[in-house]
Amino acid sequence: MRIVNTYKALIKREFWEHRGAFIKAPIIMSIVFIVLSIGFYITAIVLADKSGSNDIVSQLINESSKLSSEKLSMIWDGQMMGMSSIFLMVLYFVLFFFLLGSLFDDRKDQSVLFWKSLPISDATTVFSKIITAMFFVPIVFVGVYLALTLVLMLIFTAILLIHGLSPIQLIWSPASLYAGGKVMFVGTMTQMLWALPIYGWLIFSSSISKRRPFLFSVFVPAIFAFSWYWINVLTFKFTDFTMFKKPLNYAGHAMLPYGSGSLNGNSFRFNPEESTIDLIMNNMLSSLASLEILYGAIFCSIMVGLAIWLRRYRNTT
Amino acid sequence: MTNIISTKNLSKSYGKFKALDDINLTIGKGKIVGLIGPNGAGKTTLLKAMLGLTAYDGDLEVMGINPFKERAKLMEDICFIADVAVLPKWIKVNEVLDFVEETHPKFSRSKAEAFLKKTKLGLKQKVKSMSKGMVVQLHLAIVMSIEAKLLVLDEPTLGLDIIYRKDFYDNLLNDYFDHERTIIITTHQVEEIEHILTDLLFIKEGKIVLDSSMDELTEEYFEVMVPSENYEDAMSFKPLQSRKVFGKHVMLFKHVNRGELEALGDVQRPGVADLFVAMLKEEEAA
Repeated sequence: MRIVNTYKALIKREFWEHRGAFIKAPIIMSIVFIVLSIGFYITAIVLADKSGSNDIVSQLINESSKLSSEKLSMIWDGQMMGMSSIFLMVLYFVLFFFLLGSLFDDRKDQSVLFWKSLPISDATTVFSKIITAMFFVPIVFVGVYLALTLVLMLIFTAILLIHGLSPIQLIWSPASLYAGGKVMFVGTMTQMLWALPIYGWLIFSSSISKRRPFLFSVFVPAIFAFSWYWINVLTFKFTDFTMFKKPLNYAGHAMLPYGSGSLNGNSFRFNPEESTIDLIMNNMLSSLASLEILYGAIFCSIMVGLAIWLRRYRNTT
Repeated sequence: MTNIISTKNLSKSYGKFKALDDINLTIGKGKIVGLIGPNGAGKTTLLKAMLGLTAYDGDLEVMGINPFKERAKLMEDICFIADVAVLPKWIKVNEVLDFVEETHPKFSRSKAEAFLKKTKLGLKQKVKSMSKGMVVQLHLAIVMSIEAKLLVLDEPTLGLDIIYRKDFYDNLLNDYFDHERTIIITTHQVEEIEHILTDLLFIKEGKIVLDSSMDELTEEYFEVMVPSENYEDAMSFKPLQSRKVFGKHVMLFKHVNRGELEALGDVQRPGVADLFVAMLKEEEAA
């Protein structure tokens, strides 16, 4: 199938162009995490040694072995989700700037005419960019995050072995790489679903802007909001500002998908039997069953449609 | 289907400005057409219309297809090089080959690699690190490896030094052109391409002012090197243009019997640039 090959080539192309943001950024972030973890351990040992009580680190680590397996699971769940929520935030920023440049950069460097000299329709081009942002970059981030978690678990295993403790008991049995990967993957998809209207707006800004897509994407809504506020002030109707909360709501959910269950105003479902990860996961999934997601998706489709139209009929130079 | 391109009352306006004004022309298969005109005459607009990059009024068919409606389909049979800076800066040679291979059904990678072997370009090299000439070499290698029916070149050699320019047209003529294909070229350096052209289109203020084959031109227009003693005689034939070079008058004539002109001095085919300038002046006088 030629269309499948075309999509494959277009998506690969995005990764070539954005190797730094899509692949290097999460890897560098992982290296920072690893260096910090090892650095923290070494610092603790050195400081303890300097203060003369050189077995305090061993004592602390020994103490942890007395924790119950439920406690240990909770600690690992928290550790994994803390780390993956940082990944999710970085992913969000990476996609923000990717989409903002997606239909603008090639016009800026004039390579748009090269892309248009190939037998690929403008709709295919724009779709390939949005699905790269929706699925492929998140999958890479999940993959790198899993690799990072695995490396950290191996490092902690080595540390525990140095101190003569059981890594099976403290790491491999309470921590579940599978659960960590699953919650992060659901996190990226929750993020994506909430962010759809934002992604749509960004790709539209990218297509319509002649000079500064960033300013367009930020100032047009800001000016609109300000005018609305002003009109309300002038007419003494300080009534309805809830509509401004909505876009911010989408942005907030997308920034912190793990919190989307409670952010949504639903009461946080708590089940003491569930693990922390399952709890967060179920709350995330419950946030998705909302009409707001559907409105966001509709808005996104309209914006993508306009972006294609502009690319097709106006953006030829 | 022998006509690759045919237009009927093709027009395009930007506000009040008419970029293309009622253009009627046909371009047949196997031609190398030079599209010549001053800046802002509508050359690029005409090419863009042919490539489906701009909307227009009137009829335009490129290989039987309406280019604006079916640009993606048309691009299987058309290649174009719009300007030297057109390849993306971040892409590597092997990446661009991969990409075109996967998206263009008529691209031959082995051909492209063979062309590239003749250059200094490495497969891992980024466009960013290439000189303008090298970028054009790469682009030409890609374009020449596509089995296209029509090649459109808009100022392909702009900003290149003389060696690259010469190579460019040599490659085009020797390795690419085969009388089954059609090439349309616009350039300001007319002298460099006139020997390869089969047809000539002059465009001015959105109108075609000359649409002729090079053979017809040779039959209609003559350039004569008239020595001073024949000056008065020559003037009686009303030259379109006259200029003095090394003590001789170089005069341009239209529709004058060749035999009569040979009596005045050496007769040769006029240069396209001279012809173009003369025709513009003639237009203005009329």
